[in-house]
Amino acid sequence: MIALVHSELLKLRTLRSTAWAAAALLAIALLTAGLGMGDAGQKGYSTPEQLRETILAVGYAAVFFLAVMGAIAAAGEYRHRTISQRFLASPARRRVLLAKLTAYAGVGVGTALVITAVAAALGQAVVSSKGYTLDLGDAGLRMTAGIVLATVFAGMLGVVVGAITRNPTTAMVAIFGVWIAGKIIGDWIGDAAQYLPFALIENVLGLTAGIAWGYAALALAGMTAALAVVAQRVFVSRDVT
Amino acid sequence: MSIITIQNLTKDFGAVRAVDDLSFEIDEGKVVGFLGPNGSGKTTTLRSLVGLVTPTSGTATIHGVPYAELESPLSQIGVMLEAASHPARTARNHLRVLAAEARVPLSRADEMLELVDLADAARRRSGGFSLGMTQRLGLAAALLGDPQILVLDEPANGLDPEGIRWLRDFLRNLASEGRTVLLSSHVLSEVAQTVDEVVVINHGKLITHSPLAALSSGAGPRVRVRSPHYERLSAVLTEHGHDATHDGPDTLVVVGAAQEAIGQLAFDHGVVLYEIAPESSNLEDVFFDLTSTPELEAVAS
Repeated sequence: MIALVHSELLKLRTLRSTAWAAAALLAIALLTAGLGMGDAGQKGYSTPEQLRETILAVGYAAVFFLAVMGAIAAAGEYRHRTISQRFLASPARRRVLLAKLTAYAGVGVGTALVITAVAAALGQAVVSSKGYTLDLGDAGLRMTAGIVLATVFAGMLGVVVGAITRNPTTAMVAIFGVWIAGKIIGDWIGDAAQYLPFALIENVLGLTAGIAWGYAALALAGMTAALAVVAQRVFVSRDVT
Repeated sequence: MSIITIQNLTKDFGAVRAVDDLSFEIDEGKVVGFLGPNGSGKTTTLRSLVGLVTPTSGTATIHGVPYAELESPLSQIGVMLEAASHPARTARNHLRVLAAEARVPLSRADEMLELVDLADAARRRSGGFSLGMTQRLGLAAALLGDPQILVLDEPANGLDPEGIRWLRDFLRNLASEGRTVLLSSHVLSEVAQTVDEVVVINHGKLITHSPLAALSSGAGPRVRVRSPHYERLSAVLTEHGHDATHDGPDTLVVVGAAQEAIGQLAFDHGVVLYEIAPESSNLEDVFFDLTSTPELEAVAS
């Protein structure tokens, strides 16, 4: 299992697109934090809670990056037909999926911590110069935990979507389609909308507070696990022809 | 001792039967050609052997156990089913990723690139490789775990003559190290100089499993005879149980009779001969004959 996770991380490290994605996310974090915090004090935008929302927005960007990366990684194995090699190395296919889920969970943790740290450090510097604070004590910890959890689940859900669709384009359409569909149908389905995937992610991030944070995290974990089981049982176990 | 055993293997894809009650065994240290026309079930059989396809019925085992139950499978059996790699990853990194999965030292990647003459292209992205280079990279991947068994699906597919010659020398070298190689192809001539024996299938069924020499002699001697009395000669030969077919003006092709016997019969019956000459045995014709007869009964030697 360790070898498979190592291999997954090596795969990420040996593609230039990973470096480009990291650079793009870092740029988004710096721009969002710098410009967003630059508005501190304008139009009543001044409380630590309001100011921290800018960092949560950076976290939301990390969520999308990880979901897309996970989906492309999993579906790309089928597109480039390298999935045969994965299953030859590890005939127990659930281990292949588990290794990818573990790797992207790990990448999610690292990405979330770095992005949060960068955005928070820059944001704090900017708002301090204007006489405000982000109040990064307990609230900062709670915010960081939310971004880390949301990013981890996004990466894992991306992997699951990629394993189910087996096609990177379809996987991307599925991810953004679910996000857009959630926004469209959310008003029609009442309280049930809180349990849509991106609603749960926003809840875990702290952008919304529809249900208790812990319940939202549990629901997201359950959804990820259930979809992973479906992916394994129905799709990953299929013949590779 | 049997290393690879295919027993009553059947695989259906919906209504299509790709492999039909196929059975054969491969002994240790043999280089075996696995032959059949396109769509004959070769790839499905090989994928069943390595667990990528689940058989509808029957078994495919290595050392008596299914691939999925092998300890460190890539160290026991090297597989090249398709020389696939991420096009944006370099050849070296592609092999390093596979080495990490196979739990072999990452340095094996460089050793294998040297072995397949790709060291100069190690840091090039595989997406820019020619077909020949891609096939070599696939071979390097199959050899990463230093396995004693190799399963190669159409490794010569798309190679130019120089590439085929390189592959032939490469496989001969592997065979000289005592490895067991199962090598599929739809062109007999590609593998005829490399293999010890052949397994021929068609429509998913076994046609023959025999040493290569037996395959070429299996059709019996062919003799070309030219005579102004070819019709009378044909009748005489048929009377004596030989198969003579008219093949151009004054010409017969006789199958299953030696030159000497034909000459003696002609002399005994006062038939003038202008020419009598053996026809070289054409393996490709034998292969074509075997695989173009769908209802031919399986003959396992």
